[in-house]
Amino acid sequence: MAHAPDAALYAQWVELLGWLDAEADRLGLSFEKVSDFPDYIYRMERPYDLPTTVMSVRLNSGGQPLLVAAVSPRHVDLKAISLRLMGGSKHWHLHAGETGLLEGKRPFTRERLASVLDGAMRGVAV
Amino acid sequence: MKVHVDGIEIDLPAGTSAIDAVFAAGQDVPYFCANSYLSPVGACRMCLVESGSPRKEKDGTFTLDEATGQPKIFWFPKPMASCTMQATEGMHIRTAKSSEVVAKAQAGMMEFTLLNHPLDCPTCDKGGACELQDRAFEYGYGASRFGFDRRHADKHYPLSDFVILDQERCIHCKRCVRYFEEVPGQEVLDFIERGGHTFIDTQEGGLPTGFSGNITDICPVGALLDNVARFRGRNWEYDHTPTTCTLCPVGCSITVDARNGRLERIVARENREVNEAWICDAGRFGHGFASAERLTTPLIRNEDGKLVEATWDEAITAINQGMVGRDMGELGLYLNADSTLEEGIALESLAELTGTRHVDHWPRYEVNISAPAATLTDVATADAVVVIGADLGEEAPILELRILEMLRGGLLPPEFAHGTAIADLRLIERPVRKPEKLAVIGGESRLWAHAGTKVPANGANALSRLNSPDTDELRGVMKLLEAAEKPVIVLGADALNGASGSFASMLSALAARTGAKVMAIPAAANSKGLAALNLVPRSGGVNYANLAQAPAAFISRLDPGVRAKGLTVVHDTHLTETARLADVVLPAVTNYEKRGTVQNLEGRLLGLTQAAISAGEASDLIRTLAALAEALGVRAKVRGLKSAQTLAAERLGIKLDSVPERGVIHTFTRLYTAPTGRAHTPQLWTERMLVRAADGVSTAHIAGLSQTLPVFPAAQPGGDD
Ligand code: SF4
Ligand code: SF4
Ligand code: FES
Repeated sequence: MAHAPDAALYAQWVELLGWLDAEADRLGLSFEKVSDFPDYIYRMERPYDLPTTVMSVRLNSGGQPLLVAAVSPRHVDLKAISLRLMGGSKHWHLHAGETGLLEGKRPFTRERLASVLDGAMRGVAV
Repeated sequence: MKVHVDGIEIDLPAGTSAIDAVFAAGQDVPYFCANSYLSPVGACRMCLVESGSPRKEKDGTFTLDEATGQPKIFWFPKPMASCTMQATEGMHIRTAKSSEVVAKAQAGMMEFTLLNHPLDCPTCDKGGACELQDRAFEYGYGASRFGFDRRHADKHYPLSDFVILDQERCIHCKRCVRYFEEVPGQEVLDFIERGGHTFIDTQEGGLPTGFSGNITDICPVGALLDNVARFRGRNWEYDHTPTTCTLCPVGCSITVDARNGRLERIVARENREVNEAWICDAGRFGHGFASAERLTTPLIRNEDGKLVEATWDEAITAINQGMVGRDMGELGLYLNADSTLEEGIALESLAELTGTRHVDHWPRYEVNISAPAATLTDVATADAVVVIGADLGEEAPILELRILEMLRGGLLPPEFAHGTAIADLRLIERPVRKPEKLAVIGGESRLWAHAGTKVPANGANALSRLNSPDTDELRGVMKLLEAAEKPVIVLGADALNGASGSFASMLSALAARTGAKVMAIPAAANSKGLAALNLVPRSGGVNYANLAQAPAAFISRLDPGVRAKGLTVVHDTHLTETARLADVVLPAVTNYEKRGTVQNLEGRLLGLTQAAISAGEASDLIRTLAALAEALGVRAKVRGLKSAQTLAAERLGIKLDSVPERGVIHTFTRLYTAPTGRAHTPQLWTERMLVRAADGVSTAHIAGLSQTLPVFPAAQPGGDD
């Protein structure tokens, strides 16, 4: 994999984190860090160049995880961002695109995230 | 049955699983999903072995190997999971030691199991005591070829106040799910989703408190962790002390883990006769008091009427002065009934020396049951159990598990030289239960859900009503008892409070008529043992219920909330309400810090060992009584554990210095009793057992935990060790 898309992937991950935070606010969910990159925690003297240390986050509804979002660590093959609806057997696999995240060929925008979360909230409500 | 493991021939009972055959032969095979007392399911595929058996011709003779003339072994084409395979006559098994195929299969499985495992070992509380780490070290190739991203799921997620779940660490062995369904009979945990996305969670909004902590013992990885002991120490840093839990009369075997003088964790210790491999949540998580707000020095009341710290010498002088003008026989002696037999003997001997009439222990009942006593194994293997007036959740939690074991058929896994069977093939997932074998009479309790017959009744007269049944339900219970071959009657506080000799004889008659054995749950951890000592009021003596009327009193680890008329000496681990009223307060040790012996509900003598908990100048009851004797100007006959045990041998004819590890059933011939003057309400969890919020620190720094968890601040650097 080329290096430029990797940098784009982490930039877009940071952007996604911002959206998740804002959407959590809008929906009354809590936005919490789940884990940092092992490659950040255990890097010792090795240089670290990613824009964030956060590898995964969750959106909790009433103390229960609703959605977990994660990005691949910097050293893995076939990197991606994953979104999973906990217990919903729904999994999104997102890639870095030239202008923003892609869900396959379809752009994954903030609006798209909002509609995914709205759907998840309807699921929680029932 | 002859089985060959790596060429070693052993003789084993029929029905033995291949995994136990391997261990019985002294060989080793890695495993994750098998667990003693749970059904084997073959989920982790780690225990692969090669196996083959001889085959018989039509005429019944063995097919012979032409080359050797010996019976020919027909090998299975693929490695087999040894935990779900039954060893059979003449079977040959090859482990990794003698088979390349097995070694490669196991290393391959190890690599597969580690594929998605998060890199948490250095921060994982299980690190150092992790089955995954150990097996990877022993059987893995030690290198990773996996270059892809790992599974992401939720982490450090509280399933309850006591249990923390990390879904990424879970290796899907299903031990926890099987445990909940099979042992306490609660379906509260399960896998959600499928494939690589599978994770453990509960739909119940949290785990029920009761027996949930056992999953933290059996989880082979750090997915399920004890939240009370979270981030307190590494497994190798703890001082492990094997001892007995004395929160209730079951007397489970436990290991107390202390570090830097603090009690940090309690885990279950196996005792096949008592608790098998399980303990209750109170026993596991309710140890907060042992290291919180302890009394570490004696206190005496100064001229301003305030309790101030003092030395033991000053305390002894204060007691001596407090008794001026009084006969030493006026000092009443009261002790908690979870005290050891040795402590009881020391107190009895001092009472004799001072000639006091005011002696008592609490809690206790007024009745001595003489019907044949049931052991916990009797309960588990009974064919009918009738529980009268008991709330086992408060009185004897593990007894509840043994009753549930009875409902599943009372299948007790066999024992080998390597311990309890790792895989007992008779145990199956989602076992059939026979609720018709259980009748519960009394108030509603957790056990109701499992009982075929539930009779709401007032515990006090339940026994007499059962004796002459006045309803169809009670007649049904009577029939159950009469038809059964090995029935057991369990009696709890509602039946035993206020019961007297007539109750005991009615019970004996019922037992004789039905052939039932009886388990009367004692009021406290050692009430049964202490009944063998004369620790009840002598004629004219003041009992515990009327302690306020005693002319003077020494009160050990009891908190009646009142003081005696004159000098009041309190011996306790904490500054209780009663201690605040006392003239002299002496610091006591908890039962985690004692050596001695208690007798559990089945009459089993069980030993206590001293854990390394710092308690300042606190002292056990034996030495405290010796100091008290000194204050009274007499020399105590019992001055230490040894002399207490010598006296026990003289007085009761028992050897307490050599109680075997699993305990030993003992029946005392003479028992003392007296009116109590008050009813005992069993309560398993007490206020002080819960870790108070003030003792914990906010965990806001642990990303994402919104609630305050009882995580203690770290011990001082370079602290007490
Ligand atoms: S949480 Fe632990 S015990 Fe339960 S399935 Fe996962 S690894 Fe096994
Ligand atoms: S059942 Fe009783 S003895 Fe066993 S752990 Fe619980 S409180 Fe302790
Ligand atoms: S398959 Fe897991 S122990 Fe046998």
